[in-house]
Amino acid sequence: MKSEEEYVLKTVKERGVRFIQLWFTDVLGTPKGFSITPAELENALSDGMIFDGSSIDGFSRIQESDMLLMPDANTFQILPWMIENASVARVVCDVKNNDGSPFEGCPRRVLKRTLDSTKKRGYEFYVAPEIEFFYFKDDLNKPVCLDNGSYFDLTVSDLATELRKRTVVALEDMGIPVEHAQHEDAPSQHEIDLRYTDAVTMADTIMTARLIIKSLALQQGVIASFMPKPLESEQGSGMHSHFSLFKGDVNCFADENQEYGLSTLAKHFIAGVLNYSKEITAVTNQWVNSYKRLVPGYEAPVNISWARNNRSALVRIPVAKLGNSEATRFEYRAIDSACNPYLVFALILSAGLKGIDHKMELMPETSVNLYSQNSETNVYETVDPLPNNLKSAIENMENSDFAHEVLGDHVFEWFLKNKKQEWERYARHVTDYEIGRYLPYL
Amino acid sequence: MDTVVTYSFDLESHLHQDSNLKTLKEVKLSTFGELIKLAENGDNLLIAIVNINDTEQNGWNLCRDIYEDINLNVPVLVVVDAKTGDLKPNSKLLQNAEYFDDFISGKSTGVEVEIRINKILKKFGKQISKTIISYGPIVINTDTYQVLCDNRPLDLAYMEYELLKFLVSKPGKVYSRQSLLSRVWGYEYYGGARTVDVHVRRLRAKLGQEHENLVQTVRSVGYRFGLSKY
Repeated sequence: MKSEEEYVLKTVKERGVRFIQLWFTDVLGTPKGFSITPAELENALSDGMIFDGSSIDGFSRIQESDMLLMPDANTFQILPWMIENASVARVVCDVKNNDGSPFEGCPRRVLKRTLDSTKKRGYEFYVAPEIEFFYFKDDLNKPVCLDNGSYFDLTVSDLATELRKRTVVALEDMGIPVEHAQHEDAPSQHEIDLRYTDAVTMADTIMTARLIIKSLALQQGVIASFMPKPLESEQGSGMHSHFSLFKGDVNCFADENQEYGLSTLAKHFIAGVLNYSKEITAVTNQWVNSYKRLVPGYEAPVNISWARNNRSALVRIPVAKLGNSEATRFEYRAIDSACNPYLVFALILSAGLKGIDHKMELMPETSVNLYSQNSETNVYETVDPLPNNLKSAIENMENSDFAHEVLGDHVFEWFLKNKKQEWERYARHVTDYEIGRYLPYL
Repeated sequence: MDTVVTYSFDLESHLHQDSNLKTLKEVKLSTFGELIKLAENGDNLLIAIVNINDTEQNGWNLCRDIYEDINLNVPVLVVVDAKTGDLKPNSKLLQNAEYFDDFISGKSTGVEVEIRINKILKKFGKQISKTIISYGPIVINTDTYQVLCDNRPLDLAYMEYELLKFLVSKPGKVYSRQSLLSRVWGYEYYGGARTVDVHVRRLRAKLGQEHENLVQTVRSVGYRFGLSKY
């Protein structure tokens, strides 16, 4: 037995863990799982657990519905709360085919495959996300805010702030260090920034963090939502993510002798990401609602551009302090909090590597504030826009050999099919907006 | 877990820094009943160290109780007056000699305490298991993989456990990230040297604010475990 498996088994015994949750993620980034008892654990660690994959989004192929969950013992962690007075632990799983071969529809597999090839080239890829979300009162019909606070407000002893604090403590207890946590710009909007880790650990961590944020809120009768744009006239919830590429101790993005402190390699990488940004937007922003966030005026990107101190750009290069080359990184600002982080990180990393391989040229920095431009001026015509709705994003992705290659046949085909269905359902739907505006007048 | 019980005596302060006895759990007691409770709880009681104020009877009664309880099998080391260490002419040591296994003067140095304890343990066929590693508030049982910090169990992930185990067993030494990576990590990880930073941060988060400084950053070199003496 591997020592990490022995570690898990002994810990379960010593700590009196009663249930072990096996966690995995479907293609849309929804957390899935089921619980097993300690008696089944040893077998699960060595042979995996069989489950019916036919009802999981993105897994279904009727003829092969039996699938295998293989726990990754390194991710074993006791949860910082009890369920029915019993200790509960979780372990993140890889999804395999019944014969033990990797399942191509497993998002974690897609990311691992990308990271494997990156590792072979000697690179390590690090990610730090800023997760934004809203707290709402428990009302499924409409979003009712808990507070009227704003960015960085020190609101006194309100429920939302209390909840956010408790969430940070729970995250830290789970070994998820939090860089900052703060009230965001919109009422009832909060942000939790995580410290960087490697990409697969971070994707696992984001899934964990979302679950903790939602669970702790629910315990207080509050709904935590990662919906990209729940309030029309307020900012939406993004997941701006910071990326860097290292070789051991050396930050490959940093070069203090070059313009902006960016290495040539960084410029190629970012050029690659910008180049493929249209083709990956259906994944970074995968819901109909995602595109209501990507509109001018709410600090969300609408154009393919980069800048240092311009929060309207798609890619931002935060200014690293002199002599702190470790911190040199870029921030991709389109991603929203309701994405599948495994797929998003795989695509962004691959896009960057393509940029390096093809020595792509980084476009000039966008120095104007894209938001402050009057829409009648031609600034938007000079920069290429991101897809502005799910349909256009799907079309861009559908023609992308790049996305196809990174995601693999299974995920690529299933994802497009699912998203087309979503768009068709939405396109047919007669909205409140139309009734209110057209019914009396037309 | 291997436990030393002490009565009116502070063992830890009598041991030198690298003493192998530092890995033992020391429980300070005041009554015989508490000792029985510990034994019932399943603690592996190695030895009882009783400080005797030579003129008082209480301490001697305690030694007798421990000696006469045939189920306990706990050797007794008597410390003669930890304050003065004086053996008085009218000492009751002789008349109570059957109730203890050895005695030391309260003035004894760390080395003597350690040798006496080890001799008694050997005589009683008791062994200190090699599975406990500890430093300050942290106790690691490498057999059960459990970690206590201030007697509170820590919920560590496997690699966090491995890293902490490595660091705690080599306090005071500075390790570069690269050397930690090659000594602690296997082959299956996606990060590089920064993975070490990630795990150090995770460990610090779990150790809590009070103890996070046990893992110290040595700027542009790496990490060192343990409290700096300077």
